[in-house]
Amino acid sequence: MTDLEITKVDPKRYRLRGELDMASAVTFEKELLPVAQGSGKLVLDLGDLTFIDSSGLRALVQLSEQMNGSAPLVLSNVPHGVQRLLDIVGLDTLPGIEVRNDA
Amino acid sequence: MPERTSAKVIPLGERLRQHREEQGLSQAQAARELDVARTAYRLWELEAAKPSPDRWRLIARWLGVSISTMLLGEDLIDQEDAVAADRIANRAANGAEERWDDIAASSPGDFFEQERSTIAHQLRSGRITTAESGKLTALLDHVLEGVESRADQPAAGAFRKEMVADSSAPEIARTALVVTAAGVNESIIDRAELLTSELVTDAVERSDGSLWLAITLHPDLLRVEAAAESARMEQPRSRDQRSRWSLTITSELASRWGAGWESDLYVSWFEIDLPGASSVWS
Repeated sequence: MTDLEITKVDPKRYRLRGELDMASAVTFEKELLPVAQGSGKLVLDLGDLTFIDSSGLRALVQLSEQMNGSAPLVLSNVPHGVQRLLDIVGLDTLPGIEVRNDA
Repeated sequence: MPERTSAKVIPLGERLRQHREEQGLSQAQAARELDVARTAYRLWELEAAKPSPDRWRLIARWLGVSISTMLLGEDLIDQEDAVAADRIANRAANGAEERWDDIAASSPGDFFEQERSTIAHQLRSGRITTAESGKLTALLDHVLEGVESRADQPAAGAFRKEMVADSSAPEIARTALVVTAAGVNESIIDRAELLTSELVTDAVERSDGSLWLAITLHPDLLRVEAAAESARMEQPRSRDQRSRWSLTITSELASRWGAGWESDLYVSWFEIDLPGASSVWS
């Protein structure tokens, strides 16, 4: 099993630690989709996310869609490797997601 | 002659996985209990790497089996010899204060030195006969030979494995890649790890059953290939957003890549050129 830890920092902020792929996307969706429903702004701190692939990106987009456009899903402390993946696919293909490293 | 048991020999990787699942442990937790890196433990379960002799005692104890049973699963001794060794050790322990493995574990040296001094000790105390001592010593030599011949085979550089096509496959494949390509420049490993994850995720989504992974490290390039058993011959299937991203990532990061049908197998692959590759083999 891929190791992914999701820590609630406060009701609007969660920290991810580990790897987000096909296996851990299931955990991610189960824990965070209910939280996101009409939640307003939500910040994901990715500082300890060591790996993400296209399955992980899909999980992020599903989370932002669950927020129903009420506010963006904000990615904070985006590590270099994760940023490179976002650059390759183009952040503009990920509607409702913003990178704000100071958030 | 020991009686022939018809029990099926369980490979060590399978035995580890079964025991871990019975205990409800994750691979990370099992690795901690056996005091090894999680990557190493994962490869033991996959039979892609073998535990070194200094781990044997701890593993056998954790599994609740004798060391000879464990070595049987490692294909280092045969069933007849495993039964004979256990019979001698059990008989020697009968009525004795200490069990064979406890005496051996407290002796100095590596696994083989410990076993040799235990055999000598048991012979001196009259718990085993000269013939039994000779039998165990010959068996030990045979195991050592097996371990040494195994060490001659290249451990790094190539990985071939049939895997279960489920959501755990991408991570297993990434682990195999990191181990197989040990020594390659870190930024290339990072690229290859992402490409492998994309390749295997795609193969899992297409597979109706099995999945084969092949990783080969050549002096000048790294090649990863996945083959998925798939009945879905119709092309093209509608591509969702994830597989479109996967394609973008692959064409951006791979030196070369391709995919296609070979009879009922969907085969996809990528290659990354290795700059200054001579250092990998030096």
